[in-house]
Amino acid sequence: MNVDVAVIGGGPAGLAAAVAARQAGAGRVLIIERDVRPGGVLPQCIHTGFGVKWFGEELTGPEYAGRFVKQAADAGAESMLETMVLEITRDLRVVAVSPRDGLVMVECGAIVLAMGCRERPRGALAIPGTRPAGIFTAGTAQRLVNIEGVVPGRRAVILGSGDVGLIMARRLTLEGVKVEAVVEIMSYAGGLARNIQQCLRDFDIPLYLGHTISRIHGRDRLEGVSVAPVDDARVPIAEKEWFIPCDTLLLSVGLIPENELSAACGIELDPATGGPIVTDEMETSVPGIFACGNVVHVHDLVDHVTEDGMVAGEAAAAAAASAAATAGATAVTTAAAGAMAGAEGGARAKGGAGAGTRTTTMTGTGAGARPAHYSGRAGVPAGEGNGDGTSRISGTRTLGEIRPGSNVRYVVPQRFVQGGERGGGGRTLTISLRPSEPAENVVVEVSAAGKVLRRQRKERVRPGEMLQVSVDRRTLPSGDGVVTVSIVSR
Amino acid sequence: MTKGAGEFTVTCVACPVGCEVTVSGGDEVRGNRCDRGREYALLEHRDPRRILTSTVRTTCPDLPLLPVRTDRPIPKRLLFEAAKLLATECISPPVKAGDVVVRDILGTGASAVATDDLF
Repeated sequence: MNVDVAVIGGGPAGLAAAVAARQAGAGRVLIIERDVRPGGVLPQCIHTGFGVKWFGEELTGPEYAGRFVKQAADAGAESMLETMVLEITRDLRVVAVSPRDGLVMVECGAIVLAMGCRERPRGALAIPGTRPAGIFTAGTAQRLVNIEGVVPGRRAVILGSGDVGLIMARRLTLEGVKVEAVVEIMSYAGGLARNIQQCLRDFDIPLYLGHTISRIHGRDRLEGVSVAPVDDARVPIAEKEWFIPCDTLLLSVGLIPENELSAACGIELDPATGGPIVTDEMETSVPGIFACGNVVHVHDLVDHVTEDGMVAGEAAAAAAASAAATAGATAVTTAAAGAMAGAEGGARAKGGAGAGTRTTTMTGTGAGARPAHYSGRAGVPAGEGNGDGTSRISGTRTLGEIRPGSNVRYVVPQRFVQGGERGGGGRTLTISLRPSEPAENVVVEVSAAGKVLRRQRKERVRPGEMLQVSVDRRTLPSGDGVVTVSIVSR
Repeated sequence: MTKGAGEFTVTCVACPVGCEVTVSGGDEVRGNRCDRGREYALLEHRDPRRILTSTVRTTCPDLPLLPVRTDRPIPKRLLFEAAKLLATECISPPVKAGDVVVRDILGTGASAVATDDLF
């Protein structure tokens, strides 16, 4: 199979990317989704609060997803459901498997990664105690309650104050479950202020900040948890421990961008975000592979995920068009490639434009054997990139770097294209960032070479709430200059 | 959250700033940074309302639940009763997002409408 743009994942990021890619003129756009339906996590997020920024109204998750599923269909994007991507390669092939089509290879003009994120499980936490039934991640419980119609227990404690956990505190309460407490190890809540108010305070659910669960009790089924305040080193203070009986424990302790495919392909990841390092066009360190949404960094609002997806989709369409133009010059070899691909057992691959005379292997091109080089310039080393020696759109461009400064945990994008205007805002470059610590009366400061480019006042900042700051591209340093984003007191 | 004699404090959710706004003596407001905060706190004090989102059972084995929302905010004190009412409903396809599933919940005038399609 041969497509212009393949989108890995049919959640809000992937749907937006597919819409934007089609709107930007990409011929064949294919969404590959492993679930039976598109929408990602949105169908199980039945609460309101989605779309205030993008649609100007407050929608539920299923409504938000429904609008984009329709837009993608109207725009002419294709999709393969119940299809699991096994591998993506640096020469822009996607290997996937589905019950209907078996093993499939897709040759792409560009790829958009939109795999989203997954929840941090109990195994990632060092909670002493037994391993009884009744412990769920908050998102799993949300799926059980909202999609499958199963309430996981009668008396619950929630560890972590991320948004999904807060939303589930309210949801379980309305379904007749007694939510005894939300326990948060940090001194501040992880979720949005509105969720603290409307999910906890509205129902008088206690929130224990600076506390953690110090032991899990119960043999077959959870019988209760020990809760204790923590000291400065976040170690539970044993003398102050108390017991809360419960049969259900929900974990809302963080989300991790899902990047197994990206890592195996040798895409450079940012340890601060857990996602690919991207340019302002959402291009990763592998030319022709773009990324958007929670696979890049965990967002708190789906509206921002959609914005990312739109940028990635448009840029991917441009990359695919440039690849197709290159392929036109080598069209003579296309027939041969088709014959070779068709002859290969197992993979139902069809060779096509741009395939050159490569053989279709299922193991990629030695991805990961060589670390991706991405230090300020995105020059494509010979033999990398799209595999036929030509450079893709980013190959000839110079990239500047954006770095987190004081009290900034991470910035996205981490690179910007010199002279680029496509990063979603024409002459404006928008940088998303998350603070390391809560602070009040601060200024978000963008600077380069000792010069302040932009100052934006903020009443308060919290790690749970993503910030955005915009700068005029004309003020950015030239060459491979470095821009720093800091949060400083006023 | 109430505190102090005759005082009422709420986190404003009109925007992401999240001011702690206090209403005392019925209409004296402090802690807000804008007019929206004042209005929000007064409404929260006088007549707090919420959109209720929940699910109703369906006759489809593949999709046992259909998500619904009230088409307007209902009084906060009725949330539990309204949730219980929706838990007794069971509907059959076809339903399209936006279709009314339950009319005039508990005399509020609000309807529960589907937020997803059911085929």
